[in-house]
Amino acid sequence: MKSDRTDVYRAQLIDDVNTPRDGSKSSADAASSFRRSIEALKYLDLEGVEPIVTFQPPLSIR
Amino acid sequence: VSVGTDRFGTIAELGRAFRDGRLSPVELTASFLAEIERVDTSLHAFIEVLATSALEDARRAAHELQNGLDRGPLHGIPFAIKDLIDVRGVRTTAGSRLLRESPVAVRDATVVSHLRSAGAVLLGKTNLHEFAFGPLSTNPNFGDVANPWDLRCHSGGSSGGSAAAVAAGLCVFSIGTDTTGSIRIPAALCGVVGVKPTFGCVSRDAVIPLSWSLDHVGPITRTVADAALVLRVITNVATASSPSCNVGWPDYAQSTSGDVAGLRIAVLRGLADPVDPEVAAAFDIAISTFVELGMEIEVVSLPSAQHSAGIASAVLFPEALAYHQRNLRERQHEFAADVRDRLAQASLVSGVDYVNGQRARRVLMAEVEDILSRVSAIVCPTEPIVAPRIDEEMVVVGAQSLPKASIVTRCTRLFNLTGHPAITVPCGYSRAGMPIALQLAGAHYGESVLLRVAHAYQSATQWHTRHPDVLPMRRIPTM
Repeated sequence: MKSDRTDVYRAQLIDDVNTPRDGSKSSADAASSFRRSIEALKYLDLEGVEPIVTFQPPLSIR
Repeated sequence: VSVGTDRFGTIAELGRAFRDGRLSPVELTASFLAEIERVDTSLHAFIEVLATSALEDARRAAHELQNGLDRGPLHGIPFAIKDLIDVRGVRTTAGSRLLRESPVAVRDATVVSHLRSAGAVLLGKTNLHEFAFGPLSTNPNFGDVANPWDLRCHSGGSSGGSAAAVAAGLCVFSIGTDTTGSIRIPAALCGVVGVKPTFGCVSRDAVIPLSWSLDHVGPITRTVADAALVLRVITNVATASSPSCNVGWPDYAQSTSGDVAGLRIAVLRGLADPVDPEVAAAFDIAISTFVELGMEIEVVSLPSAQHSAGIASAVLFPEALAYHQRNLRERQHEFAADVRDRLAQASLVSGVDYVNGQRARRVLMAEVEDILSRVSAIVCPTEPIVAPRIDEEMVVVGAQSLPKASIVTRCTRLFNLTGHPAITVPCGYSRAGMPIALQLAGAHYGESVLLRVAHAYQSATQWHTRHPDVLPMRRIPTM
């Protein structure tokens, strides 16, 4: 039930992004530009590259 | 130094005047408070002015100096702090309606406690783009922060109030935060100096986060020498609650005095394009000054930087959404419309996008490190444009018309992604009198070299000696 509500909420957010409430061209352009910039990451060669955030336990040698 | 003109004095000049008995911290603090009262209805730089406690702190600072207790260069120096950072007994609003009724902070953030221990006098908390999630400092709750050089223009953001206050002579220095440029953007557009230190070098304890892996805390000042003095105080201790670095800190004030002849500097071409022709011309003249100072110039490019917008979005937006998710779900209409829209966009970023963004940061970092293995610093314009008008959505640069919010982070976000330190310094003015700036970035923990180069440039130029004349908003008489 909780996840259903989350899905509805997420769908509403995505709908808001696609149709900005103020209806302005700049808002729509910003949303579209945002999506394009994220999609462009697939053109980067990330083969063998680890993410910058890695788990590092506190150093304590016993 | 005299009361009236001392609002634009450097930390060293004011400190000498305090110790010579020509000026007291109380007189200086009162002078700033009066000027804030006079012009801040025009600027909206402050959210809360702490007049009573500031005068108390100034009296204590004066008393200590008279009795031989000297806390160092910042003793008695008035400053302001972005209202994203906790101050004991004061509400942290983050510029948001959501926090307008929140409880007051129970303790000072680490950066505030360092400054207080050094004797600095806190004047108040400065305005910002709501939750620091925007680069212009528009704010429907506390007023849009205006640019002191032209009140019709943006201050830049998100630390807009912090930069506008320093530029307008409403404090000696301020503290801001920088996630994709939020210290350097407003500092550049307002004609002052801003430093984003190496990631983690200044504690983020009790600072409301925007993006845990990109947020930085740093100073905004009128001179590089002042930035060195503030940086020395706020970087000096590691804390358990925030991963600030535990390295042997140099005396940055000493480092500004070194020679720059023979240093190699890389001019980063392409990152800022398209650039306003007046910005391009001022930048080229600045590079010729670098050459006159004996520095050797090479031109470099950074191909992967074209993806920096996507990489920053893939990392920043989900981290911001993670922090704000509950309020977005339960109180979404209390967010500023643009901030709410950005948080909505964040829901489009997948887990894979986020991880790939964090992987791409390593690629960027390696490319920047490769350049820095050959040179002491990288230089580029801080902003491709001068401060845009508040009432215009789009900015025309060359043949292109672009949304202003997307332009202003273009040159700054790269060094948040890589964690390298970066400083912005004024390098000219447009024909309309708006500030232009250059940005220097260097090796991790290489703040000393950046300060040295920036100080040498500033000493060879006069841009930092210009100050805006801010007029109070004309009050319309009530009938």
